[in-house]
Parts: sequence; structure tokens; C-alpha cells
Amino acid sequence: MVIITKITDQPISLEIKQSPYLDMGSEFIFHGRVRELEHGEPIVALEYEHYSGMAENELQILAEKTTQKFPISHLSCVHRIGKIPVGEISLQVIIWSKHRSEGIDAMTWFISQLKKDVPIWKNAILMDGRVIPSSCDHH
Amino acid sequence: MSEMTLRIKCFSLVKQETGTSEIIMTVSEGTNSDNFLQQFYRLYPKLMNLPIRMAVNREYLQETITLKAGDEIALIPPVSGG
Repeated sequence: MVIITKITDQPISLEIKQSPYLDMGSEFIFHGRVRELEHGEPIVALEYEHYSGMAENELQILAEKTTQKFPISHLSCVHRIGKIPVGEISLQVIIWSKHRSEGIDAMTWFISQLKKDVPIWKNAILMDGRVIPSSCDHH
Repeated sequence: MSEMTLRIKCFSLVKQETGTSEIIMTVSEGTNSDNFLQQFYRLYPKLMNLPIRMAVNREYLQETITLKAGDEIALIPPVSGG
């Protein structure tokens, strides 16, 4: 069992390490990217703020809970913070498991809980420089 | 009655309402988390309309506790990570 969580202000790499688990037939990779519209208005970027110390702890606790709840072998999560331009990755989650169904369930649950418990917030920076809170109801 | 100082961290909509990311607040010794929240809402009544969760020393509060001098309190509005 491996759990890796990280919150970073650096761009998230698309390079994914090869799975070391030969008995794990399922690999799910999720990338959350910054959309170009917020409430129908074009934006240039999202700006993420986090509660330093608590966000890292809550992310790690959530990852541990996920591996206890679902039969998966590996969960890694990187959440980027700071200003993230449209199209770039804000969230990367990788889950390896024996079969696909537990991987799908674990991924869905993990991301839903992340959006409820991990103290990270985002604001949208509009083309004219205005900043508005960004919210997503699609938990 | 003697007093104690608490450090209040504000984020997102709470920061917007208070106008700052951190507040130092002096309260009576023995104040519990519910009493604190009532006092805080008296200062910023608009926040009563928000579904706020409270964290003390970077952990979500599960029940009412007695606060201690130097505690770091965060009033956490709905999060929006991902």
C-alpha cells in the first residue's frame, strides 16, 4: 500500500510513473483542469488558496480513509495551488487496483470528499481583472 | 476574570467579510467554542448565513470544547478544491 499526497504551487507534470504492481490490472488517472468559463464568463485563470498545514493533513487523512474503504493498492494525489491558467492541471489523482470497479468507486468517492473536506478555495480571475468566487456544484 | 488571546484564521468568503486573513481576539478564559462563535457572529453577523465549519489547531471540531490561550481557530466556509 502506497499513499502519496502533495499540495504544490508548481505545475503538475503529465509524466506518470510506471506501475510497480504486476498484480494490479487497473490504473486510473484523473486530471482536473481549469475550464475557460466561469458562470458563463471567460476567465484567464483560477487562483487557489489553501489553509496551510490543515489542507495537507486533511488530504492525507482522506487518502488513508479511501484506501481503508476500497480495496486499492496505491493512491497518489497532487493538488496545485496559486494562480493556474486556463487549460492547466489543478488536480492529479492516480489509483491502482486489481480490478476497475473498485478503482472507479474509490476515485469518485475520493474526489467528492476532497471537495467537501479539504480546506482549499478557488476564485476565478476574469478577462477584465475582476475576481469572483468559483464554485462547483458537481460534487 | 482573566483573559486569553486567540488567533483567528480567515479564508475565502470569511476573509472577504472580515477584510483580513488573520484576527487576534481576546476573550475570557474558559470560553468554549460555541461561546466564541456567538461572539464572532456578533462582530460579523453576515457570516451567520454561511454554513461554516470550525477548526481548532488545524483539526475540524467534532464537539464543543473549551478553548485555550493561543489556540488557532479557523472558520471554514464551503471549500471548493479540485
